[in-house]
Amino acid sequence: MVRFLYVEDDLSSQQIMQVLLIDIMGFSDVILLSDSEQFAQRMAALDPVPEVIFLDIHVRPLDGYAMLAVLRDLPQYQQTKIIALTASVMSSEVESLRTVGFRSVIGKPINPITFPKLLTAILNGSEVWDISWG
Amino acid sequence: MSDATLSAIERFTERFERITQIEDLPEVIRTYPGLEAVLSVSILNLVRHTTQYRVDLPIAWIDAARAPHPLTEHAAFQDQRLRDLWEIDGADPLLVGDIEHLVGISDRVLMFYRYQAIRAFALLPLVIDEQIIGFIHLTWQTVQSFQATDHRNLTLLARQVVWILQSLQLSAQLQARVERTEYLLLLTTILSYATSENEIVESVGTHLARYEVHQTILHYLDSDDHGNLTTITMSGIWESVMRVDRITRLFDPHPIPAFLQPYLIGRDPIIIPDTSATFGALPTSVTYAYGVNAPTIVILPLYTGRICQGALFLAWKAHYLPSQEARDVFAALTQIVAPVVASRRAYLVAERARLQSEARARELEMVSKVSAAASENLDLDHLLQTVVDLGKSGFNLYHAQIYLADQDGQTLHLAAAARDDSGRGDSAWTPVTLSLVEDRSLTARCGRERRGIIINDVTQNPDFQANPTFPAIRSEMAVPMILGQQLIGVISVQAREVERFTPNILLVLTALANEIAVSVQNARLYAEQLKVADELRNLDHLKSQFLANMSHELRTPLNAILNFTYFVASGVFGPVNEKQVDALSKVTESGRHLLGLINDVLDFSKIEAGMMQLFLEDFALDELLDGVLAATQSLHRSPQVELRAEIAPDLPIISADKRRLRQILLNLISNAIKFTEHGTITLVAQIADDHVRFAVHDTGKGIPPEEHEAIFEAFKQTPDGLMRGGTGLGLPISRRLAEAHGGHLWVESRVGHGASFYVTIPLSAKGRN
Repeated sequence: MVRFLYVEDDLSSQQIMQVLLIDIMGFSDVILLSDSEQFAQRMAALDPVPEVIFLDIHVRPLDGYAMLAVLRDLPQYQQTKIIALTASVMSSEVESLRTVGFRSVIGKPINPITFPKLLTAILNGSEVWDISWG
Repeated sequence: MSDATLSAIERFTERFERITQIEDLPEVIRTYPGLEAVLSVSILNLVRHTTQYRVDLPIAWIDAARAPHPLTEHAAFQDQRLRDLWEIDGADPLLVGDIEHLVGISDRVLMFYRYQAIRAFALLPLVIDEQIIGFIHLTWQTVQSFQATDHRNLTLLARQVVWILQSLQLSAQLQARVERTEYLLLLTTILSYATSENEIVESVGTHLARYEVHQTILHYLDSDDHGNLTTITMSGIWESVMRVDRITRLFDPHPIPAFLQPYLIGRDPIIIPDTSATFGALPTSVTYAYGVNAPTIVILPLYTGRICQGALFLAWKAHYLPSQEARDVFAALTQIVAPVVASRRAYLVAERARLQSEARARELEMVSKVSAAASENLDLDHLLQTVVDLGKSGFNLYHAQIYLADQDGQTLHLAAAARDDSGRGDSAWTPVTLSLVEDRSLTARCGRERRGIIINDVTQNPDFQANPTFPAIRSEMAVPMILGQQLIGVISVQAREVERFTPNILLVLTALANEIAVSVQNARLYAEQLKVADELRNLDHLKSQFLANMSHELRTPLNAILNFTYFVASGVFGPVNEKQVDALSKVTESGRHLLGLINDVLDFSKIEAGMMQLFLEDFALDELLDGVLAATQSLHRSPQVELRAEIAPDLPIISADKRRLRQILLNLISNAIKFTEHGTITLVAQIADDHVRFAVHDTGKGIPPEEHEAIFEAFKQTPDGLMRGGTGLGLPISRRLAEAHGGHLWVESRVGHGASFYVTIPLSAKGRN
């Protein structure tokens, strides 16, 4: 069973991700974090490591970029698919996500109709850049 | 002596007389060295050979003033008591065979001859040009019986003495001529090397020293408008040793005093032996300047052809009467000096023209450099520094400053200064502020009076404030910088030389100052603009930040609205009835519309801020069009509208921003759906040359021509569009996106015949903002 991790400080967004993954797509192992306190330790403690991690960019104290850097340094996360979930869709921000090494980005609001397809594509090894509803 | 010989002598003598008759024989005789010795030998020989008379008797030569000169040793002829005897005239010899039988002789004369034991004598007048120049006096101790042949022989003797004298004179003249020729040749040679007026005068003056010339002055002369001669330059040797450079400024004419004018009209040398008698009392300055403080002067006009080039003034310390020889030299001198002066003047004219044109070219070059630098430069400090630096070096100034006036026109502030490298580096001397109201400096005065002012000799100006750091300031000039009615500032310059600044330079600098005033104003406005632009940029940045934040903050609640609505409507949270689904779909639709508005506003603000970036990637056009067509299927549309696609086969890979291209096409199609109630909407894609052309045709009611451009303007919706909602930003954004790719978007439509929107995108978009 695929294990998911979602770091998100907005509780509604957390709940939406739960519904999408569990109720609609039928997964069951979803870990939710509301902040990035002691992110490195908590990530290092996870076993088994999640195959897919969704990172909200505007999280504290570590933001999405810092969390990505932490994960990059952990050997067990080298195969993990890390997806940025962001409501900031200014092109400059999207470009910087690409620059720091995110391979997939999904914009908020999430489109519940297309989300299952995008996730499936990611699980199958594709890179997904979908920042606009559509 | 045979008659033939005598007549030959006569002929020769006549010819010789003709040759020499204009010469001044008495003068030659008077000054010829060793004349008596020559005459003595010659006359004794003549007497011995041409007469049978004994020659051991006293013979005397008596000159034209009746002074006797004994030619043989006989003291009696020192006496002048025979003066009355010799007051004979006529060219005939006086032969007295026996004084005791001489009628009319005075006792005194008789006693003289008796005392000398002279019984007979012959007095032979020496005549040239019917003028007696002297006598030969022959005496005998015995009574003589003079015959007619004696008379003739003695006449011939006298002639031969004349001939000897003339030979002597000729020889003296020849010698003098040779000397003079040599001297003039030397002078000519020396003059040909003269490269200045001083050298010309010095050469002439040195060579005239033998005539005791005390001072030599050379004038270059021109006629003024009234025909009066004007001195244009003057150079002289005031003392024979000490050279005084009195060259007044070249070509700065000043008139020759009226009393001298008449003396410069003729071509002949003018000798004024007694200046006080001729000119009367003259002011010392005049007499000194023109060399007429001397008792005697000679004026030598210098002519080449008909042109008076100038004149040489020669002056003597004491009364002096030039000899004929000296006069000849003076006359010859004019012939030699005149062409030298002419060529020198021609050179000076050419040189002046060259210097003037060079100076003018330099000035113009400077002006254009400075004004170009000024107009190119929008940084005020840099601009002013450039102007003073260029101006100082270009015009070879000692120091240059620019002061700027403050707003209320009360004070000048030093804005830039360039000083000579020889300055001692301390610029603290330069007043930083000057009161326009009361400061006495030239700079403040210029600003106050708003006119350019020249002070050509600061030592003569009581208001000049001497400066210890720049002791070399001798002249200064200030010009105001005026724009309209406003005093912008003052340019102030100083020079090391007296009379450095001419009215011409003042004009040039004034024009320059006004250009700089414009540049100063431009720079000030530019600085202000920069400030405004900076503020606007900040504002714009704030706006962008605000929009980004707003977008972010709105998306999070929309995430909840759209997803929870979907979850409920799709039955994830339990069964729902049709009414509820319908209601929820309206929430979804509103939410999506709101999202569209947010996206459009964000896009448009990015475009407006020039921050729209394209993410260029290679993708297949087929793939893009499939996605677009799939998305259009879900758009709500009238059932009477058919969606068609005419996609050319084998569409290539394109390099473009896929998401933006999709946005353009979806926008055009959704617009078409919005405005078409029945009929067809056709999406066409085809390749034309190096770009892909899309078209969206509809069968709606069309767009009137006056709205063909208005629909691409932001927030300008047609009345029809307003009714149908939307931001009014879709078409403007789409057009900007197409243009950002290097493509175009336009509409073709007629009312009642539908509308066609065309988009062209280069196959290989360069991507520009």
